[in-house]
Amino acid sequence: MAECSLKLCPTRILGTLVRGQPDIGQQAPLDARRKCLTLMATICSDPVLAKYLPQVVVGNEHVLPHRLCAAVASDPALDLLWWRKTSWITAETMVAYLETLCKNLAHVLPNRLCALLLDACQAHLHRAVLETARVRNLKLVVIPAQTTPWLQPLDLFVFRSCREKMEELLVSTRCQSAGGNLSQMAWLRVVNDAKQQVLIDRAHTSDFEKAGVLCQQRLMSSRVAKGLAWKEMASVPRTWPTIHQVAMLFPRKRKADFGAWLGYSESSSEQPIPSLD
Amino acid sequence: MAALRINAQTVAQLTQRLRRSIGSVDAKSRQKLLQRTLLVYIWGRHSLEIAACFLQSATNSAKSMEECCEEVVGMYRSAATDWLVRLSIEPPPGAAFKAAQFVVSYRLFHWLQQQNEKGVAPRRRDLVAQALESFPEGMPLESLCKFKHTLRHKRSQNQWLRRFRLQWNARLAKLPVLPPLPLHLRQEKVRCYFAFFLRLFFFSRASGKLAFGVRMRDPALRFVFSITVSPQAAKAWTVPTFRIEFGALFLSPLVAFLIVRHSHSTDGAMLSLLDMKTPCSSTWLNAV
Repeated sequence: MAECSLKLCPTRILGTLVRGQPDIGQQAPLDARRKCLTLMATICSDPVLAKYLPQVVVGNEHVLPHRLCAAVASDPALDLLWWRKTSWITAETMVAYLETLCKNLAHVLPNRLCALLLDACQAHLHRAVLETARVRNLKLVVIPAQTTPWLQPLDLFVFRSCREKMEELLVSTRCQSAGGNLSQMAWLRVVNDAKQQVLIDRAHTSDFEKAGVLCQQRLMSSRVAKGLAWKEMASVPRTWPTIHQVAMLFPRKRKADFGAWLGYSESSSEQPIPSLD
Repeated sequence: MAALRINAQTVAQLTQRLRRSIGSVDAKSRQKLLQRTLLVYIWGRHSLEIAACFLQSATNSAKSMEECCEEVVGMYRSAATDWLVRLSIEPPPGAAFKAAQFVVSYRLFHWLQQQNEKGVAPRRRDLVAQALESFPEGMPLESLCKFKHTLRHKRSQNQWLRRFRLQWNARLAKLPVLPPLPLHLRQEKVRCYFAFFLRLFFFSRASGKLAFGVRMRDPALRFVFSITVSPQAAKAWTVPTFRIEFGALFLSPLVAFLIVRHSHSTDGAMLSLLDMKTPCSSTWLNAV
């Protein structure tokens, strides 16, 4: 699971232009160019489960005004659009997302081991998130801080193609519109279509293999190995890591309860170990 | 001598044959050009412009569009009616394909221009979809299939689009973002800025005085006052930071740093307002 920002008004998209037209250009005011929404996406190595995973778009009322509510409510395709005070991911949003995920996977969770890969951002490491996952029998695996470009399958293989697909659909929709402008509703439909085509319809098993999550890192992509400057895959040590090594996985100066994260122990009586800095 | 005579005869015969073949080739190519041009004219919904454009590009001639239009009209008038009917019902496959391809690319180019004017730079898929849509009516099925076959794969689509871009002087590029204000509004704003803010302060070198002329339309705000500057400061063309208080008439005080820019002029040299520490209130701006 990971988040990415989606520009409401993407500019400088590559396309075909006729030479010698002096005043052509995209109408994009600065405030529109700065507006973004957040896409909370989850992919699964099992393609059967893809349709149960919530792909949520989070926006605030400045980006998506409340008058859109009624229109969105009437459109069943746009059900996973959340209005929050902020488009940034907070612990509260994260808890709500986990609950939606667990609700959708309710028929799977009791029988299967489900692990959710997360990056180590502040909202993900909140105690409430961990607690929700524990109650719902969902395992959380934290990708070490600042290594997501090499270890997070979504960042590695999915978000780029999702944005490209979105741009492609956006240009097609604007070609068909009369004035070349796009309403917010049309934009949301474009996002929804891009989500559907890239996140849900495609199988992502190979993405997990290439990111080293599956097949014991045998199929890791050369891009990852290059990023880590490894000629061959390093062997995993036989012993368990020390608590200080574990602390390295978390962001600096973050007082995460490592014991709870590793063993899902309920107690937080122990003083959290200060992270390395 | 006899051998020489035989050789001369052979050369003459060969020359004659060559001339004949060149003539036939010319006639053939002229016939093909006529067929294609008239097909373009018919399939282009009898638009002279498209047929003239085709003729111009096919012959690579330096003729103007008007001349080409006249030539197309001449071709159409001189053609027999039954031949024209036959041409439109059963066109020769080669000529039909070429003519249809031109009509498609012509329509596509105009669509592309419209999209660019709207502020959209279409991508490969949009262009291909539009090309397939703009196929002329009455086109033989054979040519249609051949054209669709040309645009079957991504690779062949890219090749076709590359040729299209070369033919119609288009390019792959990122569409620039237009400035937020139209040109006339921008000019108006800059004019107002120069007229008001930069004329706000005048410097009189001779008297060693700074005179502040507030040029406003509202007569209540129109007043002038002055401040004496030391001769050294006036000589050095630097003015220390100072504060101007306009009193109750203005909502916010204006603090400005002045630097003399035009050192060569004498009386009434203009000073430039380089930085405004306190942003002007809306009242101030509305008064301009």
